[in-house]
Amino acid sequence: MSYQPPDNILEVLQKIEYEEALAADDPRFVDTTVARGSQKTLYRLARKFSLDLSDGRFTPPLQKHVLFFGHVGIGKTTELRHYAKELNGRERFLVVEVDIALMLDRNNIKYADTLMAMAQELLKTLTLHNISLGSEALSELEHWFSQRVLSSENLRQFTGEIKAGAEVGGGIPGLIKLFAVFTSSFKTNKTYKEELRTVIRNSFSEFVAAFNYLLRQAEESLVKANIAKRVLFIIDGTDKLRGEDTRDFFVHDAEQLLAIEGHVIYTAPLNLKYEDNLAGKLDADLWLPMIKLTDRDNHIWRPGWEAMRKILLYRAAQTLFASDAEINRLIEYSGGHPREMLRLLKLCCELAEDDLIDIQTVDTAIKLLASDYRRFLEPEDYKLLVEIDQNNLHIGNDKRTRDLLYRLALLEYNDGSWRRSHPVIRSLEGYIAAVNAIT
Amino acid sequence: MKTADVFRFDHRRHLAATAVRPEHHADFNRLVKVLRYGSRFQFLLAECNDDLYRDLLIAKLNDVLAEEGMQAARLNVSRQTYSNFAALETEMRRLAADHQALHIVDQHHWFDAEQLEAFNIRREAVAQVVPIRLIFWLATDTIKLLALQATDLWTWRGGVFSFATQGHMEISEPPQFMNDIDNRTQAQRSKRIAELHSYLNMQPPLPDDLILPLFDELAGLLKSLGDFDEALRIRREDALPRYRKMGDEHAVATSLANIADILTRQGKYEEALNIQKEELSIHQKFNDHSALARCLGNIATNYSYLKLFDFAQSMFQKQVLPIFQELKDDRSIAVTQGKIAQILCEKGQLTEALQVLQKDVLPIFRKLSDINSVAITYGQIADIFCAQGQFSEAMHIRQEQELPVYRKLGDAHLVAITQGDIAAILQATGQYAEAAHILEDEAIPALLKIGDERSMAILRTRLEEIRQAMELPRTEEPA
Repeated sequence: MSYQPPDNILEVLQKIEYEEALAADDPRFVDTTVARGSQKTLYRLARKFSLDLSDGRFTPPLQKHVLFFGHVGIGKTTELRHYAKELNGRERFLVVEVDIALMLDRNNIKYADTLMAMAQELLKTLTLHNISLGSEALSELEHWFSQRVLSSENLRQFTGEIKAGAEVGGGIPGLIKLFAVFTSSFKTNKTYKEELRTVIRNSFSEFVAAFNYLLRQAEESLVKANIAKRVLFIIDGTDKLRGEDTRDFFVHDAEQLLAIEGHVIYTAPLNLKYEDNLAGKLDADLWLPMIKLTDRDNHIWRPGWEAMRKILLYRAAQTLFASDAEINRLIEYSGGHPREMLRLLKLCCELAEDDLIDIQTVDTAIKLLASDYRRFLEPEDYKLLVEIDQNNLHIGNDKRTRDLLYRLALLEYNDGSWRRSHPVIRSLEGYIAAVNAIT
Repeated sequence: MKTADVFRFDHRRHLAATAVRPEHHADFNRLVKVLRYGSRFQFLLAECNDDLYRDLLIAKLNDVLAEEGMQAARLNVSRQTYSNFAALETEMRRLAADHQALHIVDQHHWFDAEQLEAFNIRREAVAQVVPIRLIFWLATDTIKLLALQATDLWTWRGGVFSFATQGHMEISEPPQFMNDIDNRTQAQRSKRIAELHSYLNMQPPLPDDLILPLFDELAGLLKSLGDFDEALRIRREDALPRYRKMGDEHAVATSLANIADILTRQGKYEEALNIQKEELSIHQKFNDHSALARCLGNIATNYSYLKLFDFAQSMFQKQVLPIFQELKDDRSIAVTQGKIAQILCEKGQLTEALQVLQKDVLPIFRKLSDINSVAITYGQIADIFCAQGQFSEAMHIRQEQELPVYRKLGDAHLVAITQGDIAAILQATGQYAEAAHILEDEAIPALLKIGDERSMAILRTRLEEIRQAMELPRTEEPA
């Protein structure tokens, strides 16, 4: 039976989860390629790894680290999962997804933790594909563990606990268990987290060499098994690191990341894109555009409206809306940001007294969402937003602009060449006053 | 979801909402709904700057949740209770085991930049180990700090519910306004609002004479729901200009009176006065004495709210009273004299106030056989006796003139309030045990049943003072 959206307000309310990324086979997935104007995004992404999707030619470089930018909540993870379907294949990649939110404490994350998690997920994925590696492939990693970690004086008590626990065993299963213990410790064990990081930092060159060796062996096995030519890591959740951690991870520790001789995509927050000191270290010119509702000259962009409508009507049956006017207004005031539209939908569900969302309910929801922005916007913010809206120009990336982008008060479209204030903000008195002051 | 269950739930939440300020009905109803029907884990922000009012809101929410079979716990977070976020998280985790909702009440700005950052860091972990509905009761500035300093956490919010009030809720009585009687439920009123909107948006637009009653009704409904801003906008921008255009000056005067009434409720007394002066000029033009006196009375009331007591008193005495006397409108005379007495009390002229009440107000209400107003006037007299330290006289009035009347009228609310007043006298005269007994066993349970959370909070505070005076251990109160 085909998927049916909930047709009861309370059920809609119950099922709205902002943080949820859709799985590749989720029936609620909507193809937003044309809507975003991102027809070339997958193509460009593949090209960065030297894969030409038009003719299938693949000439992989030794390593490539690509940042994938986008506003928080616009569907980067969902899109990447769909891209993965295209990138996976015998003549292409074996995609290994590493969800750092799930595996690590993403609010306190360092490159060492990430590398451990990558190793763990690689071994798990190989196991899933019945790839067995010879003992030699694992020998360097096992050696590093035994010489540097398990024999570390500072970690004696911790490793003692490991030994006292379940027998980790050898081979890939043994290493998976060992990595799992360590990544779990990075997530929860405050006592040993820093000690573990110190050990990795002090022996990083050995660890990364062992990891790279394992990766090469794994890729050779994948080719032999006719599964893929290379491994592609998708590191998800790195777009949600704290401000300082984001800079540490992508700027200060970029050299460590670049030491990994592999193919890696990292999700990254849009504001990072405009940090001056990011330039040159990582491949940082690819982003997932917002779904646009108009083009730069304010002409209606029909595919954007259609995609947003589909997204909405997969979450709430059409019968729940009094008419198309309500649906259109929700889309309009989302600015093409799916999560903001879901936020408005949730507010409507909270407000609706009957099983029907009418125009007054939608308008009240818009007011409520606008009031969330009113809490932190300052007069100078409004002034800047009005200038951007009126001049239709990209007028720089100073701190105020970056902060507005980060907090979704300012939305960026297409190739980042044009921006608009969040539509709900335009109804605020601060914005109106700024318009009056300028005109 | 069974229709009957949903109906019962809606009924409960709307009933509970009547105890909160009208302007917060919508947010209260939303919050209850999302707590009941939203997902298992939720991170919700409730904005409230008034401790007393916040406690009332929590009590009301818990009542509805309990009826829905959901248990809520409360954590008061201060520097005395939790040294850091880790300690708070441990306690949240413990309570998550047998509760479905948790109120985390920020006291004295415990959630500063440091604690918010700590929470931000742990937010994923909190969602996993405390998988219940979390309602963070924060002050306005703390929510702003959260949005700016812990943006990821802010992005993560399930909703913001505003119960902000201007300043702290006064324990002493603020100006009280009687709402127009409207027996429709909030849901019915909201539905009617939607209907009115659909009429107002008809194309081609309705002519002014047909559209104006719709605007008036809509503004009245919005006011009854606490949306003063929108009600004011409609009266000012949609209705008033049309009445002016039609040249209907009586309607213009009524419209101005309605605008001034909203402004007064919003505490914008000076702005209200400006409007009332225009209204006054219309009544003067038509020589409408009754309307003129009412308008002057409203002007004087606004002056009294501005604490211009002498001027207000003079207006009541020299301008308002003579008109009502001329019109032989006894009830309005008594009401005006009551207002004069109130001003005298504010000025500390208690003896004069007492005289007005005893000589000018009571006899009229007695003559009109308005026993309710008689009892209320006695209550004002008893208040003065209390202020003068004449507790036995005050007690006599409370017990002989007020309580029996309210009981006879079946007004449980006024009975409970009067019992609270009696307890205050007992407290003032050191009869703590008896005072505590009346509050615990009679007044507070009665107010709880009625749902007057505000008065209940006042009495609970009084009970707490009495307990402290008695130095007795705290006993279990009605929840």
